[in-house]
Amino acid sequence: MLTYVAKRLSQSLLTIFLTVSTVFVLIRMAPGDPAYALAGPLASTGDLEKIRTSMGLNEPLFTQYGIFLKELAAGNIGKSYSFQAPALDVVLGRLPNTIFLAVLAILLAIVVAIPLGVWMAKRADTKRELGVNVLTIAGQSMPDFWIGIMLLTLFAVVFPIFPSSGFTSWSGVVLPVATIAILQIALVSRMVRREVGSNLAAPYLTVARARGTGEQKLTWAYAMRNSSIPILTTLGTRFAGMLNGVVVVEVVFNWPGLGSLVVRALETRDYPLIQATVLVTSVLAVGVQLLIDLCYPLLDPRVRLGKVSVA
Amino acid sequence: MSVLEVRDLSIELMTTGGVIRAVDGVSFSIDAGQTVAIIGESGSGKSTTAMGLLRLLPDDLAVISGHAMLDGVDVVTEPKKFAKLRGRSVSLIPQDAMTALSPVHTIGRQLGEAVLRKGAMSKADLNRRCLELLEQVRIPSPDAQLKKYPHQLSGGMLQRVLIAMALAVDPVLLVADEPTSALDVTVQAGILDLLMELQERTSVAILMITHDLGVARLVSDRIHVMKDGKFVESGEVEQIVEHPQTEYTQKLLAAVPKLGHWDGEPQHNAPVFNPATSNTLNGAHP
Repeated sequence: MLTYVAKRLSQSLLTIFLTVSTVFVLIRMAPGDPAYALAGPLASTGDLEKIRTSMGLNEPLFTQYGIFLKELAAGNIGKSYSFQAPALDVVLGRLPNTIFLAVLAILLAIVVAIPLGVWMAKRADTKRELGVNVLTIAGQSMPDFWIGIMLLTLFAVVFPIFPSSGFTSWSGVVLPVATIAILQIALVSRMVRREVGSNLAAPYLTVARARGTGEQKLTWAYAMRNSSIPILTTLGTRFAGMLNGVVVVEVVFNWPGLGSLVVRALETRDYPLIQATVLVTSVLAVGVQLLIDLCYPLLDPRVRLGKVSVA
Repeated sequence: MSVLEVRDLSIELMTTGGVIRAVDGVSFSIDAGQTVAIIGESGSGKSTTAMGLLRLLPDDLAVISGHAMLDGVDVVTEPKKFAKLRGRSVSLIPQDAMTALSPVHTIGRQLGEAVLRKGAMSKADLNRRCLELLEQVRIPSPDAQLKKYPHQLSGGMLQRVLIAMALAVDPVLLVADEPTSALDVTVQAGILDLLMELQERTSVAILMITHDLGVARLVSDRIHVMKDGKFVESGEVEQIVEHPQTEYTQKLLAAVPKLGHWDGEPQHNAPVFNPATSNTLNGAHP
């Protein structure tokens, strides 16, 4: 078990390193110039050149990367160009807002999608289930920015029940969370339906039913319990994805989280800020994944004994 | 008195291709301590009969009619009452032991669940009863097995666990749906011996579903030969085996592999490998 943890941990570190490095190179290859963004449209060529030199952007890519790694090893990611503050501090300042949104959305998804998916699995192919099924297909097909704008129009403009933007009160949380959760509920409930459905049809379930086990127990203690690994994996991946900043939703609702921050950082070519965001989110995403991997042996005895490998 | 009395049982299955009458008006009865076998090829309706009698077919896909009295309850017309009997008066020995237990629950947990159908008991009593049951089906070191998960046991051991589970409630009827088909021949014999021995002790009635005439002949008192949802022939074992009346039964009998004489003529005209006349490995085609 300990070697397993050590192995997964080193893999995780490698993943983070590769992600950060790739992004470092990519943002510098992409068109655009931070000097322009900083100096403004009226700056002269000389001014721009001065800014570039002062920020070390005229050095060859390799040299820049070397400096970046050296600084990173010292725990220093650099100062954000636009905030004129350590980039990591800016990111960590925004992080709680995104985590808040993601946690609420995933909790809502769990509370709604799991019972919904189980219900669909048990009533599979009945007329009512078909109706709900179509709704979930719609839910996973609608783009989130569209759902967001529709909810905004409906519940903030036509019927002004909720505020249209910002994080000033609890009611401001409702629309962004609902926007994110709709897609997650659709995806997770369909997945629960499939997994629980196949377990409800499994031979062991018929045998358990034959020995008189009650329906509730068959559904939850057997079918649901046996579906827990794929469901947990999906939830984990979804959650990790949300931590990366629910970019579009945060922009639509002007939510002060990582998503809107990264959009701004990209617009202004704020390299240190982009790097800090990528570093923090990849650590979180990989961390969540690692946590889930470590849960597998608790959920399935076959993984514990190394008989089945879960990829 | 018969434990199970089936009269004119029919089961219709709703399939995408239309309604299929899988079981078409069969009647039979089983007395205590007796074993009745239903044999037939796949698709003959024998397993559907068994699953229908246990009401384990989904209600929206299977329509059952006729009568089947078990322990004073009509399985067909009183499904709610029968649900209380399932796992108490009647239990199932399933076909494939390897897939018949939940992979994430221990043997002890699943066996315990069957035991608790008879009523609540203390943890110590439950454990004692589980050990007793595993000993009854001759599972070595039962204490250790209770803590194991299904994938840690062999198919034969799992089938023994399932038999223990089926017997946990002292049922009056055991429905054994091809209980040995998924097992090695050597393991098969052990399981059948065990079943017969347990029957002798508990005088439980057994409904044996099998495609294997050898199995049916070994364990049962009466045989019903099933084809296309109907019994084409019914009778005592000797009668069916020695004097089959219908062509279908004769064919089933002929399908049982026999050993030919060592130095006699080969049966039929099958090509036989003869090392004396061949100089290639594919001796059948010189």
